[in-house]
Parts: sequence; structure tokens; C-alpha cells
Amino acid sequence: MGKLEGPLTEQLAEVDAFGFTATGGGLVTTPRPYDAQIATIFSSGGQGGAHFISATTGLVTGGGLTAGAPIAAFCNDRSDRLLLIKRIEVNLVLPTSVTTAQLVGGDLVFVREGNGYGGTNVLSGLVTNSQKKRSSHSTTAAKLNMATTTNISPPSDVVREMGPFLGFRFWELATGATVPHGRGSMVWDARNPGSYPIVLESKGSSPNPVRSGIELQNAVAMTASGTQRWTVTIEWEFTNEQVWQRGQRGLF
Amino acid sequence: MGVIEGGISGNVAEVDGAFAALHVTERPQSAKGQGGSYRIAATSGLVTGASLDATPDPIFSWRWGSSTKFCLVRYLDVQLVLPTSVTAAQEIGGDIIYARTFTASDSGGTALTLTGANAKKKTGHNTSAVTDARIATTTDLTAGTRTLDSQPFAAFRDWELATAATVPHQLKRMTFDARNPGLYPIVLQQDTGFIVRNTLAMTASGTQRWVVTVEWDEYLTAEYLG
Repeated sequence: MGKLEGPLTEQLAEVDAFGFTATGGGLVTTPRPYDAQIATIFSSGGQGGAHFISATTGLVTGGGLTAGAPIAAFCNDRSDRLLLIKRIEVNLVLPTSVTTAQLVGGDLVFVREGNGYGGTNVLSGLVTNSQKKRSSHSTTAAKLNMATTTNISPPSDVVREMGPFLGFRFWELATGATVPHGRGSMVWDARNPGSYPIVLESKGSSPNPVRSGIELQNAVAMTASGTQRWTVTIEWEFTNEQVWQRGQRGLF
Repeated sequence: MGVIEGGISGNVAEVDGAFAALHVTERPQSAKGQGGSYRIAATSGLVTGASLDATPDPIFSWRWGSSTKFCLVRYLDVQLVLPTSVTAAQEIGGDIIYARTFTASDSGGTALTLTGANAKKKTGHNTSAVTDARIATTTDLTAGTRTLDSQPFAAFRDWELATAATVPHQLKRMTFDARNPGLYPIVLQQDTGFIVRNTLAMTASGTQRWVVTVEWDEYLTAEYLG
């Protein structure tokens, strides 16, 4: 028989009387988020943090927008850190309708080597503490490259998975239709602690680096007349391998 | 080998027979002491399009000024509808952005009343320590002195049809949801906060109505280890 005691507070943990059996109850717990910030426990230091961003493309023109064309890319850019993606939300609206009704869509694919995309890295040159959920956290080690008016170019050595892990499709009406323009969205959500997050590794250096990430693709070729506006929202935490293994021992 | 016994009750924690899993009963983090748990929904007035230009306009502002407590924002929901349509169809947008190093709160609009028992989830909790929270009435707010992040953390874009379209006006929405313990909440330290903004110029003919819902907890800094 033993009791659990807080080392600082000296509070004793309680067991709920109204448990699941006649003889025993449930330990009362208050769940907390995974602490990516741990800085001094491990020799290499945790020095991580929790971050979020919502980035919007420019008006991406339909001309040249082929199926599979990259719109945005997110990757880990630091070899001594892991990025844990907890939530991704992608929204698309067509401010300029297509001249002929057509299918529209997007896909998200894993990228095993994905550093060096074109477009604008919206996580570069940030004002102090930008995108942190708590100002005392460390600066993020991620890149998010976004399209402006055309799709972004992938790095020449990009290695993608064969198929997407998330996608959406909708039918967009032609310009003359006086109905709301179509909207598409997709959400990947691992906020529940029982769901394994996407863990982006970053290992090695040139000529064989691994900078894993995700790529957002336009899924269906667009007619030249239309335009697309994408909004990408990502919530992630970054930490080091030692901290992550301690938190996930047995699952890693 | 040992069993876990309740510190006061002496109840014994059980382990499930099928999965060999310890039984637990989850509770929200205690807000005892000088903290509390709160929720509020604020609705703007009819914000006229003429006051909304291409520079992002503050619609809702939240400033946390306490040096002894943290404000943990668990849930944020923002909805927008255009009761008066625009005369020409147009793109509309909004976002939520982190604000840091406040030295002067935003002004104008209607200040939310958070005194007394207002917004408490339990009357016995402490009165909220939010320094300033306000929402626009007929024009956007006047920005105070604060540093905005480079990028927002929530955003939407949508296409609004012109007045003649005989279809329902669309509801626009953006949400931040960290009620689940697997996601880190927004932890507001002294003189930080967030701003809900209109991000695209509106034609003068249209009007906007915003509804902002905030759910948050307040803890003494020493009580929140995260």
C-alpha cells in the first residue's frame, strides 16, 4: 500500500471513491500538455517550444496549375530537433471562378527530404517571440514556404511518399452562377494525447540530408481563368529526441 | 509490488482486468487559490464597411497585464456574418494574431465587463484579472501600443456575393481549440494578448457582425508548471 506525494507541494494524490469496481476507484489526475520546453534535465538541453501559425497565399492563378503542383511546404530544418505536428488545417476558396465548372481539390503528402522549396518562407525573419504560444519558449526550427501567385518549386532532390495522407475535393460552378463560391477544407488532428502526432525528423547533412516535412498540393489541374486562395494553419511543438523518448518510452 | 491509496480517503486505485490499465478519473487543472476558470461570448455592433480598409483592422482586443498570474486561453471561436451585403461581390477575410509587449491597451468600441462574478464558470472563483478586453461597435478599434507577431495563428478567407444574390449569407469562422490536454494552450504572460482583425478592405455598402467566444483559465505563475 502506498501513497503518491508531490515533491514540491507534499500534496497526496487522491483516489476517486466512485470508481469502476466495488473494491477500487480511479486515481484522480489532471492531464497537462506535453512539455516540450524542458531545458536542463538532459545534457543536450530540451529548449523546445509550442508554436502555431496561419499563413495565406496570394491569389494563385489557374494558368499552369497542374495536378500535384506544390502550394505550400512545411519541414524541420534543424538536425538536433524533432517537430511534432499536432494539427493541420487547410482551407481553399476561389475568389475568381472558373469559366467552366470543374472539380477542385488539395492533397497533403509526406516528404522525407524536403528542404529548399521556393516561395516565401513565412517563418523567416520573424519579430521577437513570434508564433510562440508562450513568449519564453525557444524560437522554432521549422520552415513554412507558401505560394504567392504561382505554385512553389520543390527541391531537386525531393523524396515524396507515393500517396497523400489527407485530401479533399469539391465541385466549383462556373462564373455565371450566383451561388456562393465553393470552399474546400481538410483537417488533420492529433491534439488528443492518444493520437500519435506527425514526427518530423531532421538528420544528417549534405550530400545526404534528411529534412522531413509535408507538402500541400493542388490536386486537380485548374483552368487558366480561375484563381485560388489557400490558408494553411499548423500547430506544432519541437523538442529533442531525448525528451521525446522520455515522454514516449516504449512507443518510439 | 504495491497499491496506490488515496491520500485522504484511503480508497485504493484499481487496475483493469482486461487491459491491465490503471483506472484514473481526469479532472480539470485546479484553479484554487487566486485563480479561476472563465468563458465569455461578445458580439460586435454593426461594423460599417466604410471603416474597414486594407490595413488589418482590430475588431476584438484582449490584453493580459498581471505579473503574478498566467492566462491560459483554452478555446477561441470567431464568427462573422455580413447582415448587409456588399454591392459588388468581393473577397473578405479575418485573422487572430498574438500581441506582445503591450504598453497601452487598444481603445474604442465596447469594453467587456469582467468585474465581480462575470464570466466565471464557478461563482467561488476569483474575479478575472484580464486587463482589457473590448469589441468593436460601428467602427474598428483604435490600436494601442503593442508588438504583433509576424504571422497570425488563425485566419480565414471567403467570397461574399453581392446584394442581389438570393442565397443565404455565409457564416465565416475560425477556431483555436486547446481544451484537449494533448495540445499546448496559449499561455499569456504579463502584457501579452491577442487581436481579432478584419484583414481585407470592405466596400462601404456592407456591414459586419462579429461574435467572439473566449474560454480561459487563470493561475498563479507558481501553480502552472508548463
